[in-house]
Amino acid sequence: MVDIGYFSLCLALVAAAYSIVASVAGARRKHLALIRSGENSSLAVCGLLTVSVLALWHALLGHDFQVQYVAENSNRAMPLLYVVAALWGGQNGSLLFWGWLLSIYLAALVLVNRGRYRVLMPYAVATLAATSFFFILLNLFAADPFKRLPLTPEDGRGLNPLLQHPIMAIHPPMLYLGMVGMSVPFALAIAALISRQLDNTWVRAARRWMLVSWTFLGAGLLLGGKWAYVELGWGGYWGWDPVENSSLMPWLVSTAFLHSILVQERKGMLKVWNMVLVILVYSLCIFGTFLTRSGMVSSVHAFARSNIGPFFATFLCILLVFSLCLLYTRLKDLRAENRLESFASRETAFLLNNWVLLGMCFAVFWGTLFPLISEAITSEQITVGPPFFNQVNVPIGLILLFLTGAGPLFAWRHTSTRNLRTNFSIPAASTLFAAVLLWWLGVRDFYALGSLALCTFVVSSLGLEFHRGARARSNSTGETYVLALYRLTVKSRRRYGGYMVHLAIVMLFVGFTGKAFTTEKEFVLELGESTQVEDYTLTYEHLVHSEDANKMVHTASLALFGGGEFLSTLLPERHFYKNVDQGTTEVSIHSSLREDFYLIMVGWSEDGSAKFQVYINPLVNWVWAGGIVFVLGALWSAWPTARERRLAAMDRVSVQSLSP
Amino acid sequence: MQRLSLLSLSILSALLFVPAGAATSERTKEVARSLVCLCGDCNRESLATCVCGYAASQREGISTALDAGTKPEEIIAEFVGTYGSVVLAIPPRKGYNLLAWIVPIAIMVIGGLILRSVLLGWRRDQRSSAHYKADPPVQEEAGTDAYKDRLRRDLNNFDPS
Repeated sequence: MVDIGYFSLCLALVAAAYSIVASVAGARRKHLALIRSGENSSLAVCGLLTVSVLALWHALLGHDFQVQYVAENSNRAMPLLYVVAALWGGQNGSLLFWGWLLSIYLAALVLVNRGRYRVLMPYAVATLAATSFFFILLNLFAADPFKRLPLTPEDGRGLNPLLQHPIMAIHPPMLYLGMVGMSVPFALAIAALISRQLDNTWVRAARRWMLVSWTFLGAGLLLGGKWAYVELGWGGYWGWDPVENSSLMPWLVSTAFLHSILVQERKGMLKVWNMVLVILVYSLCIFGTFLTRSGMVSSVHAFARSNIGPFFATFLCILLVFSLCLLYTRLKDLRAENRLESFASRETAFLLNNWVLLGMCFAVFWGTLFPLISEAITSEQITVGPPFFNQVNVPIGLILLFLTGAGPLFAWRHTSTRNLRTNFSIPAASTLFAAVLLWWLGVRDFYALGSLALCTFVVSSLGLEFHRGARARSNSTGETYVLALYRLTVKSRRRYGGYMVHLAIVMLFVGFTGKAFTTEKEFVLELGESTQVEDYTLTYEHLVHSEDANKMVHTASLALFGGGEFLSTLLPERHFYKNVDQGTTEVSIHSSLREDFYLIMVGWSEDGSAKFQVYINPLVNWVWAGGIVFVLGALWSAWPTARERRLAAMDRVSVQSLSP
Repeated sequence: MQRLSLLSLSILSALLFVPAGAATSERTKEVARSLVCLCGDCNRESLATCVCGYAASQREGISTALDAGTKPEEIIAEFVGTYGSVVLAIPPRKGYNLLAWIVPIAIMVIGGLILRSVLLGWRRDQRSSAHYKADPPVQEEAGTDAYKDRLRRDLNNFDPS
């Protein structure tokens, strides 16, 4: 099976190469059969890589420890789920996984667009096939997942214990689906540049791919946060770690892209800028992968490191030089069709949004790389920790939050001063009211107060948008208000899905703001002893030591009371993994919408007394709830409208009638 | 033999974890917040929140120094003296390291200025070029009369009949 996997990888390389050549040659000679052949061979790449992935899974599940990757990333004691997840737990497997996902996206692009975007498709297929070629090449020559060991070990080393968490089975695939998916809009942009079909076609073709990838990436980021929160045991979910940053950067720029393409679609403006953005998004995805895998920066998430850094650096350079030169040669054809008519317009709001998002992205980029730059120049090592990122990004984030609410209050083209006054009056009044109320309630932290007041601003402006739309529809169609509201969101999925995402952003900011009110306490308890933490009472009941084949487990049991009532039994643990001499902290959390009671066992003595650390994290569940709303809103926005479904069906019919 | 290895495992396991000592005071945490854990495994986690044994012993060191009357700044300076600036959670705000803060702000400002000049340029183009003179700007609020008028006008222009 392992040989089949390797062989199929080799064939995939050939198929990818053929797909590039056939697609480009077909497009240049306008040879339809050749183009089709290129597309079909890209489907073959997907099939062949699927065989390779299945072969590696087969080796993992069959504990074939002669395969180096299997021996290094799994062992017999690991639960099934983690053996499956070991496919992306290490360097070589995760690269194969990346290539596989890329080939799935490529196949999906081909299948979805069999009858559409005929000018763009050959070059888009060629671009994606070229990227696949690069990844397969890496797998074959620098990161072979099927490499055999000279001797078969008894057992494998096992997956890093920190990764043995259910979220870890889903978080990396989500991030990869996001990052890999962003290569599709990039490929379509490159196709538009090469084919000179530089109208809005590529934007229309790319939008949904970007939206879906962006949703995956966003969900992946939040799942990563959730994992850090429950697994790393420091009470937080975001540490501005280089790996987190390197996935946040493409997310920020793709957010800018999703906004600025609206201006292009509507006004024929920002054509060059959108090209720059999509190139930047994809380059940041590759850059992030390079950064975290080359070992250039230290990170808590970098589990897959090796010497493949130079490959990625080369790929990134080629990518940037090629796409930017191509863009340069097409500048003349990318002139805007319209001009800005007024500063007080939604166009300007979108430009400001782009400015802030890119500014934030740069700040993150700079903070992540500054230690390297600094060391290269002064040869002194420094740390750029979370306080730096918070100091720089919190003010920028607040501007962004303001724009989230203010943007929808501007009309396209021009908003008169009178209208602006009307549109802003209710949101502004509610912001002021919220600010005064919060002050009165004792919130004195400037940023926390500002953030929560701005959240009110955004919510009221969004509410107003929904209300106005529903009222206008209800008036013109005679539908009831509720029905009108529903139909409005279904008819304009894109707009109202977008507003749902804005609401999710508000929920996230509410959650982030909760961090300003975190309280923590560290204490030592004897067995049977109780302590008071704010309104909670905690009683330490017992300490149990146990073990299974994989690990030793030390569990403390504590009863949590609040307001005199029993709330729950908390079981913080420390795990010690036998094969890798590594320990992990398993926190225990009592969660409510208001706050989390987050308990860590720091250590214990022979007499059974133990040291605990408690964090009371207010509003943290808003972050996770916001994540769910984010995904729902994004899906709502990406879902085709009835009209789009009809058009797609017509495309299919016309293609079938054209086929011989 | 197996028992022996289990025993050594338990000892190792116990060594990894911090024995329950005295709880860390808020004053200690305050100092520890400006520093990072340099144990090598924890990836420069904040010294205040890091759960490893090395961080715990460092916090105890800070605690002892504070009890002995050493000022927080002096403790931090001592850490920097021993380990270099890398032990600080954020770069020192002096000399070359000021760039860490200045550059992002400068980029935002420069970006803002570029954006402003682009917007102004567009406006100037708009005024000077007859080509771009389109309909008079209207408030495109769905459902308003102005919106309906515009829609009707656009549809009339569009319809060849």
